[in-house]
Amino acid sequence: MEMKGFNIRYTAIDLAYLGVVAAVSGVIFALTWEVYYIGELIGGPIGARILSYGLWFIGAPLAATLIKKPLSAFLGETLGALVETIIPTYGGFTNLIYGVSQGLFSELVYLLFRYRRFDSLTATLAGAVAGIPAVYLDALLFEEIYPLEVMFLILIGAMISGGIYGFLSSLAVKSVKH
Amino acid sequence: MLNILSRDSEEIRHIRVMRGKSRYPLTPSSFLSYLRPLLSLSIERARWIGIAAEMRGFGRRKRSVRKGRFDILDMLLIVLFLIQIIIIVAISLGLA
Repeated sequence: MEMKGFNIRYTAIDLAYLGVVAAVSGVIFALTWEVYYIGELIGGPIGARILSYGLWFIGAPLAATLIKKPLSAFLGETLGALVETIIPTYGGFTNLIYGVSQGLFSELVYLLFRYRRFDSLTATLAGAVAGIPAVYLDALLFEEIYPLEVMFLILIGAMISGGIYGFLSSLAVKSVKH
Repeated sequence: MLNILSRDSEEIRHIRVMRGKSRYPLTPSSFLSYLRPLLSLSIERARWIGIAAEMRGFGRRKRSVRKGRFDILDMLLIVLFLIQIIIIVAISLGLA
């Protein structure tokens, strides 16, 4: 597959890495439901998002930091969500909708950097921006609608969580790969 | 692969409990201590799977596009799908 100006030719090793990221993300996404409910008990809707939402966004930064190719972020998050849907978890098919949207937003970050940077900064940003579609879809699909100031705090919480876990996932990949 | 990873994940969580840590990674540091071994095991496996596939010529394979045939069975399937959609729309609008 060729895209104008970008090399998106995936080798067998890249595809194997993508499979691993999808499986690892899927397993973590499935576990995150427990973390989310624990977080909701401790810190309510905002605390739950800070504690857990970033874990649901790690597919994109993990895949992009590991594979360093265009579309890897989108595929990592989407395939992770697909695995989570297959396992299956509480969210069911909606997980895939979340995965596709979050993957697209994270991919946008790497596109903005013209696929030249796959470091901790881009991983942090990729994790953070995935919070936007997640909060929007929460409102749309699960009717999690609160007053405007609470929605703003929830969005900030989700983005901070995404940033933290995006950064951590890039650290984990770097420490494991080298 | 998913079964192997689920087993790895369960083992890591079991070891975490044995070491007096939480079963679920609730903090960033516990997340790292959970993710690193999981990634380390999986990436090593994936690398060798990828190398084995490349050695067998995966990267050099010819990519051919097969032209699809559209026969009577495909047509029948599409008609059945359309009927299904019409019935669903009719039921949801209260026409049936």
